[in-house]
Amino acid sequence: MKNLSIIIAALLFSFLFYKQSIGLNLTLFSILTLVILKLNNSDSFNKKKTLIYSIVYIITAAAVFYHTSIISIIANCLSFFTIIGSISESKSSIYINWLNGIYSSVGGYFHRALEVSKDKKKANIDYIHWLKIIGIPLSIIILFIVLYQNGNPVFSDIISEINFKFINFQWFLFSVLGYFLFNNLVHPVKINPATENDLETKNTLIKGEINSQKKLQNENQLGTILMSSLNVLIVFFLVTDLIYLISTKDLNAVQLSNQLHSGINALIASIVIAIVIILYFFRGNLNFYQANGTLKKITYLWISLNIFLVAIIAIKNYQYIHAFGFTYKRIGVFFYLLLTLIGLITTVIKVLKIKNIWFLVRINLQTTFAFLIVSSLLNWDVLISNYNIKHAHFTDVEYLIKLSDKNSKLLKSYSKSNTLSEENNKQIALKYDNYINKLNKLNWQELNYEAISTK
Amino acid sequence: MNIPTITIKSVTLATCVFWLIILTENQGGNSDFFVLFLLSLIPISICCFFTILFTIVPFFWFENKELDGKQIFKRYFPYYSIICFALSFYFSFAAKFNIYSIAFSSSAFITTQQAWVWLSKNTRV
Repeated sequence: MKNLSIIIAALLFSFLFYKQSIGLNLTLFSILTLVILKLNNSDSFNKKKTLIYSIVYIITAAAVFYHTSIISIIANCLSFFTIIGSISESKSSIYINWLNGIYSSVGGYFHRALEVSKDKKKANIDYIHWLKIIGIPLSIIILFIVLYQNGNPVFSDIISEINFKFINFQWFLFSVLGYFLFNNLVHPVKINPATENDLETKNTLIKGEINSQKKLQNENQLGTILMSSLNVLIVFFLVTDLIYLISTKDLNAVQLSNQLHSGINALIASIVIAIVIILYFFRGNLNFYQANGTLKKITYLWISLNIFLVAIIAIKNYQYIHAFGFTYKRIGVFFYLLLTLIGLITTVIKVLKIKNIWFLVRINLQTTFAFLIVSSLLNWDVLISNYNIKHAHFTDVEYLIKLSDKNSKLLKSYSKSNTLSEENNKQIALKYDNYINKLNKLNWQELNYEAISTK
Repeated sequence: MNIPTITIKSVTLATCVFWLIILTENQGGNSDFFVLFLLSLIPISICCFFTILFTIVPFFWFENKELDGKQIFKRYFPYYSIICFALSFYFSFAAKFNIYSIAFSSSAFITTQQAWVWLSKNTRV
């Protein structure tokens, strides 16, 4: 039964993906994967975490069908590995889920090949039984089809319409690939000792043996001096930055861009060093040292000032966007700032609640994954084009033309209602025609919501 | 560890996978097929020998005093497998998934994975 389900899934895999681009096929593949996983690992689906990841996987599959953007495809693939990893071990961290998911998908067959040979428990396959189960019904069905074809012209026409020309040796090899993939997925495997180590590693820091009180005192002193100096430095930087922000008005695009990028570079260096320094000082017994109150307070102050730095750069980015519209880089800056903010807040929690470095790694990776999923739901090209056309003071049409063809309709209507250069009008018309032609030529496996609504 | 035997088995496997994929594109074959097939054995053998010798066997040489074949496999194979898959996929992607790149990367991936299984079975403490 298990083998039969894998064979059917492998044939469907070929049917969906052989010589097709991505569209409805990836959405159907996601549903098929969940069905196969549920059939073979029904117990795992009783766990809350696996259920949540299944829903996330379905959501990303729907996003692929809705707008088929690169980011939605990446999110779908990552969700696929997450759900596989979650079935192999539901209690492990998200990065171990990814590792287990990737390993199960690419190396599961070879992993089990060694297990089987060592256990020497080869199942006796009754080939004659299988031949009977598949061969007899198939022969009788073919016989009846031939009989009905002679008896009913409508039935005969429908049967002759079925085209099996796509089946060739390459198609067969593609099905073998599908079989390999589904065979790997049926029973996901674990990477050990990585998974065991992850399960044993908790989030809370454990108090170690204190060998020298003097050493801790020196470390506390060093930390306090360093953090105080850094606080003074960042305050100085923020004051000068604020003065510049308030005093300068009507900056041009180049000035705004330079200012923003220099701010971002400063932020990257500042935040990374800040987190590394904090992790260094709060890596061990200094967390439990009674006289660490001052160090903790100035650490919180430093993190707060870094958050203030994030806010200033966010304001600059907003000004830039308000004047010149969205681009992928400018949206990327907002995402980076948001992730940085979460990184800083989790660092505060780490110091406050005496957590270890794995707490930071786990929670920040989970947050990044959540952001990826949320951002995969949005059709960014349309969103950017829509905002720039309706709200930006200056619309960079050249940039919008260079985006993917998903904004073609929007640009077409924009070019009709606005006076653009002849060159831009030509490019938009060409882009629109190519897009409509592409949508009309799509096979059913490659369809997406846009293609269906256009038809 | 019987490296020559494993190399011969790997060369056979790699050659079969490589030509099986190439022949799907040109199903009728051509008159030079047999000559090309024989000639291909030389680079395939060299690639298999050096890949196994330099990327797989060292794990067994350095670890076989403390761990048996199965333990070495469980500890290192997953990461090797993931890296090997990533490189094979990237190679095919960079070559725009043409049939030769797919044939090369598929045979390289399958052969290295199977070579791990053969080596693990043949290694005792």
